[in-house]
Amino acid sequence: VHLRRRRTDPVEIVATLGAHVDTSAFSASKQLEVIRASDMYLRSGGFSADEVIGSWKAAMSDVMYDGRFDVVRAVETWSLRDDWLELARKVDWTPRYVDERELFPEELSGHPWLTHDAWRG
Amino acid sequence: MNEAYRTTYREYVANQRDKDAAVLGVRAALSKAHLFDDLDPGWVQLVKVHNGAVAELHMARFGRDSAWRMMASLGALDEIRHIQIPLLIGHDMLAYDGNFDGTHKAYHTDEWVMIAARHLFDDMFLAADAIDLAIQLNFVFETGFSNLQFMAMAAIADRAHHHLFEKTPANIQTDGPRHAQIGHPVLRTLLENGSRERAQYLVDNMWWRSWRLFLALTGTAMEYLTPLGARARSFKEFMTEWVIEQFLKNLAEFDLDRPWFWDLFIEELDYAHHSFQLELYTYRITLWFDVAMPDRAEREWLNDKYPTLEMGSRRYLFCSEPCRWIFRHETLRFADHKSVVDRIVAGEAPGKLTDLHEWMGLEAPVETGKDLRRGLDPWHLDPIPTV
Repeated sequence: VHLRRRRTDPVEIVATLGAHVDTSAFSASKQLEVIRASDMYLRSGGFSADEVIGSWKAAMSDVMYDGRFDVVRAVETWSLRDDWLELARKVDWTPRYVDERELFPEELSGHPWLTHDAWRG
Repeated sequence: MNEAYRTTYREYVANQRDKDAAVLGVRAALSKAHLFDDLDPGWVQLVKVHNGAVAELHMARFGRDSAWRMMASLGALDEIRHIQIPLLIGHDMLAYDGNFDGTHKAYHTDEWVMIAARHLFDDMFLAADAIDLAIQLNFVFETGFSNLQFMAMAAIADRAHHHLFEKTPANIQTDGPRHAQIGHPVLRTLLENGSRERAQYLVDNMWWRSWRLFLALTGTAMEYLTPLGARARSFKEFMTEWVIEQFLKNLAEFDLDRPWFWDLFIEELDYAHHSFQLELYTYRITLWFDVAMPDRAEREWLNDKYPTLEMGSRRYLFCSEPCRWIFRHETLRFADHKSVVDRIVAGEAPGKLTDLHEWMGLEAPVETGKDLRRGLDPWHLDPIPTV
């Protein structure tokens, strides 16, 4: 299936696939799920590794424990622009080994020194 | 941060390739030998001055939000282009005029104009933290000055029939609005978090210093090196209609005050760049470009744009506002007075210094002033330390 560049809306993707298979039936039965990148990676506005891993686990376990299918396949592919752009520009680090003040020292990041919440925008 | 222009790296590369192709196309169309054919000689000097000026990298690492860092990363790539393009064009121009090595020397020479310009930019880009950089470079310098100046220079270059120079600032300017948008959200965040005083200081500080650079570079170039036929408006008109209007709009958006020195700045629009031009002309032997003395038509243009006090056939110039105030108060009392300069211009006193001594009744060197201690001050006689 060839998807035109920039066609990133899940509804459009499902519609385009519909020329080849009965996607509406597959979608209704959850045999096919297309998730917008921002809904997966920016669930609460910014990128959080914990949230993304949690979402994958939930989506896959839902299907695995459903018992209807022998095989589960998860494909991660980023649409070419809109969702990808949002993802790229809103990936913020979650420091674990240093605190935010050490990662962004006031001498270089400037003052007033504010926590990331103030800058998230 | 919530910037209006968003771009991916892929789009960035594609756009910049197209823009570079436009400059390189004009460059290729003009064989090197004809780069300066049909150009006004003053214009050639103007190009020399402008081929001289990597910001943003501090913000690419130390900016506080991912959108800020992404924009600054692309901005840093922009700045590298902005250096490479003039270096390339400047190199081509060496075949025409060896002084175009000033483009490259700008980064390391001790020439006084370059020291001053580097001091401003090094302080603004390299010695600044991410917040100061965003407000002073992006909000004040780019949004307030350089983006507008690049547009004006491209338009002037078009009228001066220099299409290569027209393409160069246009190529650079089109990057500006994208990374300049870092400034607004950073300023807004400062204001929302109780740092109004700091924000106002940063804006005032860089407005004044940008004005200083601008009057020296753009003011003199627009009115002394641009051929008369290519001038659409005076520097003062450009500042008033474009730069000031934009800046006041920006201040109003954030409810910031005008800088405390605003009245002085407005007053300077009439004379500061002309005074600097006098300095450039007087000390031209210390510059890497030639400096013009305006011809009769250019003087008329300048008089028209910057009217002075004229009474009868005489034009009066004043050293200060209080002197003008006193003159206006009792005009008849002072109107006929002639200073030494007036007398020299009228042919009543000699223009040659040695003759002028005699005219003033001073016999040189017996009677004329000297250093009080004849250069024999004790500190003066101390041996100069050497390595």
